[in-house]
Amino acid sequence: MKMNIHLDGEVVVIEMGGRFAFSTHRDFRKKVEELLGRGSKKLIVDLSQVEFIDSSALGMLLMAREQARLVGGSLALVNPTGYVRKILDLAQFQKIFPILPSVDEAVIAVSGVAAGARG
Amino acid sequence: MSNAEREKTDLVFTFKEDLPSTVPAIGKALRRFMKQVHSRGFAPEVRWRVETGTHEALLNAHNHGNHADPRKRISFQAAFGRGTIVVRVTDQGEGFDPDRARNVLGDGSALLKPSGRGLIMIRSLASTVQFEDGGRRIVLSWKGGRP
Repeated sequence: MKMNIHLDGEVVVIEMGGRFAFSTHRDFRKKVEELLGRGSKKLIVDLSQVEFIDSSALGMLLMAREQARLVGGSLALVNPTGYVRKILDLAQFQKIFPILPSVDEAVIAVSGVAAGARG
Repeated sequence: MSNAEREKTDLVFTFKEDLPSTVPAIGKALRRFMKQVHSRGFAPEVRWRVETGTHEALLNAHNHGNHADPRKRISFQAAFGRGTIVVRVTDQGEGFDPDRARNVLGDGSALLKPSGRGLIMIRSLASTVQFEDGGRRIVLSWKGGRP
């Protein structure tokens, strides 16, 4: 599993890669708590590099969304592809999360301001 | 008995692993199993369904059956037929009522719950799903997709 963080004030892009699964649970949860704790409450999870996702990862995303909402934030997902998209559709995640094709569109969705969290 | 059922009962479980209930052991066993699936030429869509469904079955055995107790074991077996894969995963837990789980999960209430999604995925990804031994064993099968 790969996880890269891009911060810009309240907006944070969490780039996931490889296998986003049960073994990632502790690292992902810790990172989300750390980010929310320092005031980055508008979370964008970029799934474009994720090759495999499981039910634990879906639970992690729901938990992160709930934690963000508790502090007045939000969570959007970006560009799930192939089989990852199929799993999200199976779990009806499109009813729960904004799922955007690009980080720039997700930045607008979570904050309503111009893009710029990445870079 | 249908031809498909007859073929399933005739299958020989050539892949047999007895694992400690730990995440690394599950991951390694799944990789060894998927090598065998790859070598038999199943289509990419079938391979994904098999890998994800089996991964979820192993995780359920570890988390919900054995309660992540590394002293407990998971039996992971698989058989390969003509265009067919059958997987059996058995844990050492107290079992559960799969019909009750189906009722709870089938009413849409599971959408926002942090857990329970694994069984929904398994039922969607496998061709058939059976529970045996009071819910301690799950038997999954996939049919077709061979090039």
